[in-house]
Amino acid sequence: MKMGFLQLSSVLPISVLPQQIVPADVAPPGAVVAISLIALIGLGLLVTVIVIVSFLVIRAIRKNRTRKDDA
Amino acid sequence: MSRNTILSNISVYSISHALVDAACAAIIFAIVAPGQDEYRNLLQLIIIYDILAFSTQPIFGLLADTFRAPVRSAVLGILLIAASTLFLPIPLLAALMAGIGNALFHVGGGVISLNLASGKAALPGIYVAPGALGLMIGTWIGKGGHFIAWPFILLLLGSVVLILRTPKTEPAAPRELPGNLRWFETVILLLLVSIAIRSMVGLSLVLPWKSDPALLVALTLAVVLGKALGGILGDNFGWTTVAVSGLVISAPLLAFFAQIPAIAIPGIFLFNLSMPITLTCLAGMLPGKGGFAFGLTTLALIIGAWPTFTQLHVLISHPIFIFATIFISIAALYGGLQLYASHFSDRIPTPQYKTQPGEEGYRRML
Repeated sequence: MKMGFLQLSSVLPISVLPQQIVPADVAPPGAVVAISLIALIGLGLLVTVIVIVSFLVIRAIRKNRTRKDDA
Repeated sequence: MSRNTILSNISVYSISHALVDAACAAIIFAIVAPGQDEYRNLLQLIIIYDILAFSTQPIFGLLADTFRAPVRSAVLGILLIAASTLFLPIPLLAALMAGIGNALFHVGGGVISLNLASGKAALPGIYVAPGALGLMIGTWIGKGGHFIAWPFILLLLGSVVLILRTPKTEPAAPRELPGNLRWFETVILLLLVSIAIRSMVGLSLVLPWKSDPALLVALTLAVVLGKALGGILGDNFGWTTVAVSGLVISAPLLAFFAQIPAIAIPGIFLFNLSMPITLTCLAGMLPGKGGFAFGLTTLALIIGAWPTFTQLHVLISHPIFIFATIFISIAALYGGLQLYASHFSDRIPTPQYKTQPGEEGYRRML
């Protein structure tokens, strides 16, 4: 079901859209599930990378301070 | 910094914070409103948005610190959120833009509030507090199907104009950390563990009475007041006293009386008192890296929230588990604050607070 012009231009609330894009008792298309899964796995990896980067930054800040103290 | 600069900045950024969170919540729930029966898709979209909004903040914070661009970060964030309302028919893209926009705004505003605060917790608390109110209003608008983009776009653009017209803040004066750097990572880790546990507890609490609108408003106000007053009380009566005693009293209230609103709501208020204190202490550990410090707290929030997205949520919502984990959080926070006070801080507020040079505007305001 496509959005009408008034919804797309935000003149009407989106909820005015007719219900049901995919019937409730039907599984979402495989592609949607795959994309969602890939997105979630990707985000998990992103969080892991950010945690590692943050840890390295904290170490770098400390080392930087230690060097200043030595000098 | 003059009193006017402090007052105008904190007002503009706090109101913008509420607006940004309201817009993001409304966008996310408006996206899923037409197909509410698609529960899994809704959950996945919210998780994607949350992870982007919270976990990317250390990186954006680091960039904002490096380029000294907190205002640009906040403005870009708001513009991204406003633009995301035009992409609602492409839910993933809209969630992505709203998530990144939210992260950019939060670190920008966070740096500004920390710069204004001169090492005190009151202003960061006042900046962070209205977010909960915005979330509640945005969720109500989005879920209720009342979302219309143009009022949000206008309000967001209005807040950009206000931010750009507000007098600029001075970057925090560079400060060398005194003391023993041996405890550097330990303090940061303890503070982050405390935040992560608080996030897990906050999300795993079962509050069935939240469906009552009046009680939901009372609950939200308790969060807002807890965060806003936590910093002010902490600066006046001592960070450790306020943060630790608030958490200690809240533990039994939340763990064993969550079903009773009259007890749980004060518990939530006390539970939130420690938030601005933890943030400001962490920023104190990383002078000149306010954006990165702010981002680390949100990274800890999302890591703490992780178990609640999984089947573990059944275990962690058990009263005994909640009680025990709040006490682990208290131990971590107490350890972190004590180590900070004894090794790193030349200005942690204690009950015998002394005004320091250059803080007159701030003191007069509070």
